[in-house]
Amino acid sequence: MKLLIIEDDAENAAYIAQGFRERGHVVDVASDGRQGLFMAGAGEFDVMIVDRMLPGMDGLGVVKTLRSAGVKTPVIFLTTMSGIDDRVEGLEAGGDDYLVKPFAFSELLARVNALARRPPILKEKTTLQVADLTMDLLARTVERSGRRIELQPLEFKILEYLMCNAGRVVTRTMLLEKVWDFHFDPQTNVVETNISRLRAKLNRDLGVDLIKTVRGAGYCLHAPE
Amino acid sequence: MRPSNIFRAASFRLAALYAAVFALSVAVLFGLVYWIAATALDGQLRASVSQDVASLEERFHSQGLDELTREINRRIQTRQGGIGYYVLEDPSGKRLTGNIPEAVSMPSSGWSHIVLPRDGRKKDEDGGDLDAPGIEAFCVQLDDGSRLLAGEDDRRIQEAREAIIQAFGWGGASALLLAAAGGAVLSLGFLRRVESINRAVVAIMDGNLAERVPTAQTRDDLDQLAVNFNAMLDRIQALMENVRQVSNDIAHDLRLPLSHLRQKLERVREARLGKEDCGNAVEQAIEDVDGVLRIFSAILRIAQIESGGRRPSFAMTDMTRLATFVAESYAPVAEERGQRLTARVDGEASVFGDQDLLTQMLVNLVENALKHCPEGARIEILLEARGNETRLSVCDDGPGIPEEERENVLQRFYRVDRSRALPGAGLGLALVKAAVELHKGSIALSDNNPGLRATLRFPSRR
Repeated sequence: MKLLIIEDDAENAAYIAQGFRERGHVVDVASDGRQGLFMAGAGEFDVMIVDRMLPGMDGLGVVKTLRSAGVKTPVIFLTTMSGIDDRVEGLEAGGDDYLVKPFAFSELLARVNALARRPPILKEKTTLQVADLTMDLLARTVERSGRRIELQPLEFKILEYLMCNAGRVVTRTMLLEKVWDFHFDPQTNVVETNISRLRAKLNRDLGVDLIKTVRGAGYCLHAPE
Repeated sequence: MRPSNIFRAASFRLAALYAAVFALSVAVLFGLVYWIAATALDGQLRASVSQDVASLEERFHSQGLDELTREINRRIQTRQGGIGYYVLEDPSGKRLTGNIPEAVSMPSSGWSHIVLPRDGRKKDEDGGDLDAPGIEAFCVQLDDGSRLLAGEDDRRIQEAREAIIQAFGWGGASALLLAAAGGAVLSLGFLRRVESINRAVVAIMDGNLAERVPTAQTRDDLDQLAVNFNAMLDRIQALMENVRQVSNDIAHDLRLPLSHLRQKLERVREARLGKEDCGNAVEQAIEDVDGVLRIFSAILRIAQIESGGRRPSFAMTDMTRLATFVAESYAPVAEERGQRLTARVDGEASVFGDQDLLTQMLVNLVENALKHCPEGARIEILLEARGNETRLSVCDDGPGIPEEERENVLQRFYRVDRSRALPGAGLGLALVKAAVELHKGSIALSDNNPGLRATLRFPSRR
């Protein structure tokens, strides 16, 4: 995967770049808005990581310009925690996701992976399937090994998100944002508890656990190897 | 206050301008009155002279020149029914009678102004004596060629003119004096108030933020200015207080977790830990840092909510859905803790607000109840739509909060549990308070007999 990082904080840029390079990705780094804009226009990237606060031209301006020029590369904004309205502004400017600094690298990695492999607007799927687990999005039913599993609406939403991102790590924060629409950090283990409930319902009488907990990162739903 | 200030004051300049305009209008008024009065008196005089001449002419026509001469003589002697000065000359220019000195030559027909020479008085160069009585005279030629002159002393007119001038002189002078004095008094009063505002501003600049501009209760513009000024100062003071509080909070409540972190790291450095222990210690240190960052972002979030910058994102938010969703999300959490969480929703309710903040408020209240209630507790989310408000309550049958502590727990970092045995930084309720106030609502903590009932009230949008 080829990434462009537009970030003026050299230390942070190096930290992110190294993390992705270690995982075998190609990374280009721009240290200000204008350079970033130039590089984004010149090369093909899978995902761009753009800092909101940049010298020369700020992150919002860069992404707005790129979007108006027809560049559709997924963008994840890095924002400071003081800006609670940054999320909306970033999404309005054409960003696809946002992450508040400072963050765990695993969080950024999971989000970049989710953006990079996002299918380019498929025809509306009506069923999802992972191993012996099937979800009918129209009838809103779930079956495992041919046996019907009754889920609460919230549990259904969680499973749907996990199945859409099957094979990829989904972090706790991603679940909070995408499933719960919570853009703050709850003090209790609301995600963990609901996941373990869902897991218990899915695994009833079956030995194979489809939802894998990735330590220090999040959850991953995938077919057993 | 130095006197020179008076002349600098805008109000004084205004007063002076006003006085000048006033003086000019007085002068114009004077000119008009003088002119109208003089013209009217002149007209009156001429009318009476004309009438007199007409009656004498009548006498001449009916009774002849001799009778006219006698009549004039009679008038001169008795000074009755007449107008003062007469001259009658026969056609040859010989004077038949008259009381104007002969040195004064007979003017031509029509109106003329005759100045009488006065004994022992020198005439000025123009041949007129300024003080000498003048005569407004009318001269006619009678049918037989003799000439008749009748005139009247214009002293009365002169006197009236002088009286008018004098009256206006005194009146104008006193009016000007009054205007100047009034302007000075006004500007002094104005200056005094401006000065008091200035003193307050200087005191505030020197750091005494509690200083306020005195208000006069007069409800005039200056008073309104002072009131608004004070309101602005209140707002500034509140914001400053907010900033001060945030820095204090950061200083005090972040120091503790940071020093814990430091101790842990030191232990890692000093003790020769095995690889696994080392990894665990680093893991713990990262958790500590995350904890610090959480507190940090919570403080910033509260400060931002308090500064009021989030209102643009307000929209009608379906509280019924929100309450049901939060209850559904947290019921498993409660169950895991051996508690029970339910929601009772009374009809449809919407609140005009920020969905993120509304969600967080309810989540904070629910998490608070979960955290502080023992096993077996029942927690209920209650949503009621009343006529002019929407009430969102979280009720529990846990230990509750003593009445005297209820105000305190809404403050940042305040925790009833002094030992800090429970996790958390004491920011949850402070955020709820800030957020509900941003929504122009209120929070009330009350006794649920037993337990705690936290009620958020949101005004309906009109």
